Amino acid sequence: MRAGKERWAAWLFMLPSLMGIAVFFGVPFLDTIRRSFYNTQGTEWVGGTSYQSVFANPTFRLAAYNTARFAAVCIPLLLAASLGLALMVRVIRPGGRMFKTSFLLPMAVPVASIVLLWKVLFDQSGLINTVLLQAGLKSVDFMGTNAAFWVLIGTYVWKNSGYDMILWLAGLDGISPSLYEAAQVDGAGKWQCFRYITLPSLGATAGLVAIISLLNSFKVFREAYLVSGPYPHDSMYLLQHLFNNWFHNLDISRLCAAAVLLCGVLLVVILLVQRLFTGEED
Amino acid sequence: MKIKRCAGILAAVLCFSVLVTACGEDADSGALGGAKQTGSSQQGKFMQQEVTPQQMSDVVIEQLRQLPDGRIVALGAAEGSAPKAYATADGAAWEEAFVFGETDLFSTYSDYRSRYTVDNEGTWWMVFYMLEGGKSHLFRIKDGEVKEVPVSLFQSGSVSMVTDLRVDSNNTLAINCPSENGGKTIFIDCNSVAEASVVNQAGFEFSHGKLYNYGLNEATIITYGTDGKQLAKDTMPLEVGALYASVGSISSDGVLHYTDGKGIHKVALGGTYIETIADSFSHAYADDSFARLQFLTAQDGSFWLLGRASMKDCKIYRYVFDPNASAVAASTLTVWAMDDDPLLKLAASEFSNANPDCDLILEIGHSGETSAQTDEDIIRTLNTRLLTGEAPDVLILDGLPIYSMIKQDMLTDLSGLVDESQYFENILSGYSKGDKTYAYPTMFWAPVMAQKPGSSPDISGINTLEDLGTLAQKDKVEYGGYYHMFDTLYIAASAQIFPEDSSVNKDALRSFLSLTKGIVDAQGLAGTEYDKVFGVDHEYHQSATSSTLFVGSNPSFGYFINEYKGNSSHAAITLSGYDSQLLTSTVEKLAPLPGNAFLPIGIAGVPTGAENEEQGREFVKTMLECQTKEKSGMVGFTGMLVRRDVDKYFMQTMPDDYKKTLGIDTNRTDLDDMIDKLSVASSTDFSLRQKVYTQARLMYTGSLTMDEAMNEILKNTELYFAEKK
Repeated sequence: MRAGKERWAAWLFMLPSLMGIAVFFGVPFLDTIRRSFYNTQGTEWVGGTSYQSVFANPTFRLAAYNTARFAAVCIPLLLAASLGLALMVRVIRPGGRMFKTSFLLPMAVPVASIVLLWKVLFDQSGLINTVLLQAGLKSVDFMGTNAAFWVLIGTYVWKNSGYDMILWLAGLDGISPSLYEAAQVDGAGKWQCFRYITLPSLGATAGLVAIISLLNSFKVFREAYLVSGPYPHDSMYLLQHLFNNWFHNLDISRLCAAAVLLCGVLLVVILLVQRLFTGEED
Repeated sequence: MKIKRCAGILAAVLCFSVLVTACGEDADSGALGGAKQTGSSQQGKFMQQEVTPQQMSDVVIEQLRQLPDGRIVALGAAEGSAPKAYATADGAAWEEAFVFGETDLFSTYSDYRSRYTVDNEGTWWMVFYMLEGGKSHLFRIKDGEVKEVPVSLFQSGSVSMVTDLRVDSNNTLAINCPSENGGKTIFIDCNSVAEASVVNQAGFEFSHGKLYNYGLNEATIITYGTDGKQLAKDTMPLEVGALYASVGSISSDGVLHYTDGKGIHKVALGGTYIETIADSFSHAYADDSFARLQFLTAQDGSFWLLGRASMKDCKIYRYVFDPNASAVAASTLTVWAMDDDPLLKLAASEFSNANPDCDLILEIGHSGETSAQTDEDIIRTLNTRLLTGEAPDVLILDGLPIYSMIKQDMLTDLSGLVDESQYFENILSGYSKGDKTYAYPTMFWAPVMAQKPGSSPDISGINTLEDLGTLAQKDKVEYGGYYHMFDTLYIAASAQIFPEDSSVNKDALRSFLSLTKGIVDAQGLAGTEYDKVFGVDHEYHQSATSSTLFVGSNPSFGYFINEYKGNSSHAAITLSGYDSQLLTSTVEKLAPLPGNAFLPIGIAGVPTGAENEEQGREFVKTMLECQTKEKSGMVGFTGMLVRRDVDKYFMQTMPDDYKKTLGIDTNRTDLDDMIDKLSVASSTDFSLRQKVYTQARLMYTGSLTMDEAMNEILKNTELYFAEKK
């Protein structure tokens, strides 16, 4: 009886945000699904032709590949880097707090400033190329070659590692110190403590950090767009570029079809991440 | 576990939302898609009455002023004759007032210019002045008696030019003498006929014993007393030049009323809020061809506007608030354009006059608070509106993805809207497919080849860009910057390079790069991006022979082809209007550049599903039909008009001495023949042009080879075209 009341109370508390999600995300998403089967004006049923066209479009394949590649490279990198930072911050006492703050600073830097930084550093006549030339090396066209992809990765990891570090720290704080004490009594070293206590205990946190990192990976589009415009180097051409350009050209049916496909893929990925990191099954 | 799954689904939807919002950012910025100019008010509205006195139809009306009894007086004079005054209470009937009388002043000062007014007692005051040199003279004329009033600044020759004379309610005369240093205002007490004081500023308004000064480039109004002391200095939220030509008046309680091209506004001196009290496109102030000269606020609350459409076509309009007039328009028409344009304003004015019950809203993408937005941002906001059923009724498609909109069936068929035989049909049909016309270019630019009389080779032999290249690469050619050369030749070639903005023709691209590179090398332009038309370099590099080619487009094109400067015999330039490049040239022959391309300007279309499609079509029709002979002399059109004969009329009505000065001897038949040959709408996609120019520039300066530039352009445009597949 009491469990039933608590469940109702929980739904009641969630109701405002659920309504918000339904109105602002759910309904538009349903409209997106509908539009993917209609023409641009939404007046004529075109069936699955938009989906066929999306699959046949080479830029969609390129953008999907780049986006997947970006996520596949940057999310593990970010998880590892931010976890490393979190462990370091915990180890460095005193002074850890100062590091914690400094690693969070990139989040507070406006996108425009980051873009300016990119240009100062990576332009063909930028700082890095100046140093390379002075060292007698050849300059690198960072924005016009495959190096652009790694610049994007670097920016993403630099900007988000502080935030993820905080999430990891919260997860680390949730591990009972008694577990470490018991392990040390049994003769476990630092690596064994980390391998057999810390890592397994961070499963749920890892799932959360991975999903949030995935979400944040889409935001890197802003930097890419502001630096290179709607048509960057092939290696930086992400799904958001394609969606943005299709919207600009009012190619709405294909935009909606691609968005629905992406949502489906994301759903699968998120469910997989949940299963992977929490180990729960149906 | 179900809850977990739900959470997963929710997270996926959130991911999608983040993605979509990232693409469609700025949804909250500039939701209107640009600044709006509307023609509506809440309740009742100001009605315009034309009240020009018939008796003054052939004179230049110089001033309006209000007498203490509330009557309005219009002062005007025919050239070299005595001024006349007509008074009215409400504009319905004018009666002659304050006879000037016979005088020999005009013969005595026949070389002088004059300004005049009448004071509250009906006494005439007149200043004779010379623009340069000579002393000015102030006269008081009462009952035929003429008396010169001594003015110390006139006698010392310290001031010369006088723009106007004003009398306020205290019967003080203010003589406005502007100069580069701010000017001076001389006050005369009309009752004692004595010089009162001098303020070291010229004013735009003098009333109730106060002179108001407003710097053209400032946002402050400074108030002076007639004793010359500064009384107040108010910072105002006025646009630069808003009060130019005295189109504002200030009441005794310190409220400024003024008019500009957008309406009649009021704001308290020192206030920060500007209230617009009338803003109809059908009113005279909204007509760019109507020069606003004076604005007056009458005691009865009406406003009076004096202006002129031409020197001898002065008009007076009265604006009276009618509380019973329907403030709710029968219909609303929304017109959207990326940028403002005189033709758009002219059409808005004509449309509003023809449809007084329609509330016309003109939305400009780059205007006011949206001026800092990029084209991308503005288009994104517009697209959102198009998709959510809030589409404007008329779209000016310059800068928009036209071919994509046609492909998506976003534009309605406009065919048959006008009698196309009255227009250059080849230009009008720039966006026709089969029997459908999706948009009408209302203006155009034309890349042309021009030839000086007696020169050779004949331009009729230049049929390909290669021929042009051969001529351009002869031993002596004119000097210019490669940017303008690229600009002109790109307009000519872009339709072939990027047919319908949907693919790239590699051969045409290579040919274009080869041609322009050849010209750059032949002319030694690699170090010069922009023309140094007025610089030493041009003078130094000018050709010594008479068989040369100038390539490029710049405002002083004419100087390149006639012998005033340089010795070019041919020119490849972009004609972008009647009033500069074409008409300042001695041209024997004109021909389109190879490819017969033109750049459409002011491309008007009606989006599918527009709420007011019928009047939207009518507005597009008005944009074409308002291109009348009478309006052909309007300056500021951003292109050549598509209506036939307008250009001929413009030439015919141009004063002979002006033609002589400019050395115009253009064969007009050639011009029409040339325009008739234009057949291909050039690409209006600026992003494509930029992709080509970025690489071409590197090639011109030697940073890239031709093949490298080709590859880069192909690579950079590959994604662009692949997206459309």
